[in-house]
This record gives sequence, structure tokens and C-alpha cells, in this order.
Amino acid sequence: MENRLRVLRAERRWTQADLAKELGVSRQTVNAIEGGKYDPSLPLAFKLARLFSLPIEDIFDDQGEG
Amino acid sequence: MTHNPRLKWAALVVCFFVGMAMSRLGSIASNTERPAIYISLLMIVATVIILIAALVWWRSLDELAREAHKSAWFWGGSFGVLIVLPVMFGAVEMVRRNALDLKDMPPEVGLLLGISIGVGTAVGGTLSGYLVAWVIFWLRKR
Repeated sequence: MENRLRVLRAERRWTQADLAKELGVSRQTVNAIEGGKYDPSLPLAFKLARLFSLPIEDIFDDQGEG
Repeated sequence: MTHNPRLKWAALVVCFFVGMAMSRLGSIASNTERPAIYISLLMIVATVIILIAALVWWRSLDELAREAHKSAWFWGGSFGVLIVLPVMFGAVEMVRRNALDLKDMPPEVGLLLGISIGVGTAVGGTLSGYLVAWVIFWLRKR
């Protein structure tokens, strides 16, 4: 699943470690999500949406998967 | 989902010291009049402490770290056992055909040796598979 996390993070000048701290996850998890190698759980996706004040579908794009 | 590395390491240190204490107390208990009772009690106490430490450790992991362990358990553990099963059956077959000569060994030692090799191979296979799958999971998520 593709996402705009890297762009959104860069816009706020946050490092992966900053974002990881905000989310309560490890930096490796943020890196894996940004790289599209891991799809976060629904609770984590909602946490991201709240953090960036955006709807989930503005952060993640499932491209009609599933 | 909360990631807390300090809790994770604290839980691992507790398990390490429980293991060390078990080894020492087990050795003392085996020299008493009723070693089976004392060792069983020690095992129950250690199991409870390790279960609590494992719960603290698991809760300290974030969701990707948990996924890594779940994936390693399923794929690594399952295939690890599948791979070592032929080794175990092969060893049994070798004993049956007298290719492995255990005749000079006292029967109780042969029995204990057989059980130890069987359990050791199964646990070793599971843990080796687990480790390999865990490493592969993280390499794929980099």
C-alpha cells in the first residue's frame, strides 16, 4: 500500500525518530511504513491521521487493492 | 502498540537472573531428600515469574516487532521442526538397525540420552528456524 507519510513528515521537518516518538513505535516501524513494506494496524493508521489532522485516505492509497 | 525499550530489557534481565537462580537452586534441591517436589515447586515459581516478564516484554514491543515474532513463530518454528524431524527419525532408524550401538550403555542412560536428543533436536530446530525467520522478516522490512 502506498502512502504520503514521508512527504507529510518532511513538510513538518520531523525525523523518523521524531515521528516514531509521537506515535509510540520504533523508528524501524516508521521506516517500514514509509517504504510501503508494512501496512500499519487500524489503530496506528488512525493515530497517524489524528497526528497529521488528515483523513486516513489522504495518507494511505490502497489503489483498489483487495 | 506502545514502544518501551527499557521495559523490554528489564524483562530480559529478569528472565536471565531467574535462569541463573533456577540453576543454583535446582542444584541445591537435587541434593535434598525429596528433589522431585522441590524442583517441581521451583519450576512453578520460575514459570510464573517468566510468564509475567514475558507479558511485560510483549507489551513493550510495538506492532511491527510483534509481527516479526508472530511470523517467526509460525514460519520459522513450523519449518524448523519439519526440517529436523527426518534427522530424528533417521537416528531412530539407525538405532533400530544397530548402526548406532547403544548396547554398552546402561539402559537408563540410553533412555535419558534418547529423550534428551529428541527434545534437544526438536527445540533446537524450532529455535533455529525461529531465528532465521525473524532475521529474514527484518531484512525484508528494511
